[in-house]
Amino acid sequence: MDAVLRAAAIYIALLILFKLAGRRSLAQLTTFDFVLLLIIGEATQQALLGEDFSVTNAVLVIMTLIAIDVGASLLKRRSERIAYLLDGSPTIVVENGVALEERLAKARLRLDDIMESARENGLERVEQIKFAIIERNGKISIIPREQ
Amino acid sequence: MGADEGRSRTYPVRENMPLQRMAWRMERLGWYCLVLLAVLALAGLFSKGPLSTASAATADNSLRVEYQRFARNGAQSQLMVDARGTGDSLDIILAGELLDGFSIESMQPEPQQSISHPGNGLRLRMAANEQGQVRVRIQLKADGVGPFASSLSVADQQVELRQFIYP
Repeated sequence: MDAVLRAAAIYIALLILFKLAGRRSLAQLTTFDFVLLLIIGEATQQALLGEDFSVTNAVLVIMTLIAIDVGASLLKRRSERIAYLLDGSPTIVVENGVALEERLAKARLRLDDIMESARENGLERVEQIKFAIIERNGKISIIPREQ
Repeated sequence: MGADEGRSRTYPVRENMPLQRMAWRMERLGWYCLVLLAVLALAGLFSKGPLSTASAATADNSLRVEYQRFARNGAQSQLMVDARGTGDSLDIILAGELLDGFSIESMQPEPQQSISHPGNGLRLRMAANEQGQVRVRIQLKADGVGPFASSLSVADQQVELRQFIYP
């Protein structure tokens, strides 16, 4: 019984914490972020398994995690509101060459971060950007203006 | 947020700015909660800290117990019992839910005798020193989850412990 409860509790706790960490942390994964993720994994592992290192326990934990994950994706398909709650929606932060400063501030991004992605697309100035969009996974998409 | 920036765009993506703004607000609220929880953890709300360390004693101070109000499932905590009596040994009775919620990992010094007590208690016969004192440290490991009320007694003196075990 407790294997299922443990897995469910950890799933929900991680879901909430990563939601709070925001989309940004996933967008630009630095080496340090990567190490941090490893440590988070390490801290989680003990709580997931407890002191029971049996195959049964491991299978039960994995089964529960996958079941919840599938369940969440089914819920997301059914309800747009839940989908939004779990995944967020894309947000436009540069429109027709003008940065939407308040949105950038709320998303904890600077124009420099946008320009970094713009340069990867071969753009030099903010005026050349038609749209910059923070995607649901935290990636910044750039759509250039037609010349 | 300005009226224009707060407006939901429909092209090239369909936005839902009211929901997005709520998400940002929740995020901010969440950070404060995280800091608050960290401060509370430092204070000992989740075991080991000023909020958690507690002691209970009888009126005549013949029995004194130091314990952790909060424990965590699977983690160890200490229970220190100071008792005074006459004679070269005295009986400490652990009763109530203590043994349901915790298992005794070790005890220093070891009891001379450990006998079950009516109910689900345990009677420990401890050797007293020349002054008739006993100080025993009991290392507990939390097994249960939830609130546990227990009592410790020596002769007719009794102290009550209330502990909570986090999952």
